[in-house]
Amino acid sequence: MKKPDDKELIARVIATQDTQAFEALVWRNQHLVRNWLRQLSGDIGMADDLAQETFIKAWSKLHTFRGEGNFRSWLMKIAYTNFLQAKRQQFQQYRVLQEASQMEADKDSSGEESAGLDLQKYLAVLNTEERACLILNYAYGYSHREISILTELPLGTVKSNIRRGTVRIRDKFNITGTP
Amino acid sequence: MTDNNLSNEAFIQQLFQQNAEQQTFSHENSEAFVDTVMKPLRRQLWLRTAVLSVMAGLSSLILAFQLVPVINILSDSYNWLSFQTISINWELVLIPGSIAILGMTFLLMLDHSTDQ
Repeated sequence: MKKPDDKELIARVIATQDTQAFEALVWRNQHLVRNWLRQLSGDIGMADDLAQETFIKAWSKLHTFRGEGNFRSWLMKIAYTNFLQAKRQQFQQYRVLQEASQMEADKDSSGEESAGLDLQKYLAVLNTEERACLILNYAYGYSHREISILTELPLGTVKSNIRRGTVRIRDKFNITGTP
Repeated sequence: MTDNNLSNEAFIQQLFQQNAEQQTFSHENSEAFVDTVMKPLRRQLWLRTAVLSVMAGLSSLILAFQLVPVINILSDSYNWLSFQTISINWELVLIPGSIAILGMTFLLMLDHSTDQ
């Protein structure tokens, strides 16, 4: 039997508040939302808490999803907004976390190159917008225009964030060629 | 674009590709996460259904009480479920009761609309 697609499940949730249909949507998309938030925040606990909030918000706002765009992008947008709100609310705590990540990045870049490629180490040197744009572009393959819609940033800002982000990583880790 | 930029872009692409392979969750981990999301939603839905059921029951009861005097008048027999003999002032029960039910309905609707 063919599995229902996302649109069918969404329709069932909106029409009858079908929790089983919503559970199927959570199963399908949890890895995407959790990874996105982990890459954004660099903190597994915070990312999973925000992912949970994201799905709860999605449940109550699902009727506003018009089905024109991609459901995954819609979820990622909610997750990103959630992340920005949490960051604003816990600015002090977040700054401590950022400073810790920064210190970790400095320590790693000054020492010998680690055997594996640690993405968080590189992302830690970027600000939130640069990080979001770079992750969406390279990890999820979103176009500049799609990133602009998802992050609500002007197209030019998205392009410059990606350019600035790559340059910042290159400068910070003194990368001159492919590893 | 300079050669340096190109090599850097290739590096970033490789960085993300290698990382993407690591970002998978075990079945148990996913199950625990889905449970964490679904539990409060199911509880919220169950609570809402329970409150609505109680309210519907109360409303029906109040409506039935309000209909009794009308039925009495229509049947021209004031003895049927003769409220006059009971020393409770039903107006004092029914009016605040109706207001309370309406208030609860309004609050519930407000709660639902703020959720959305």
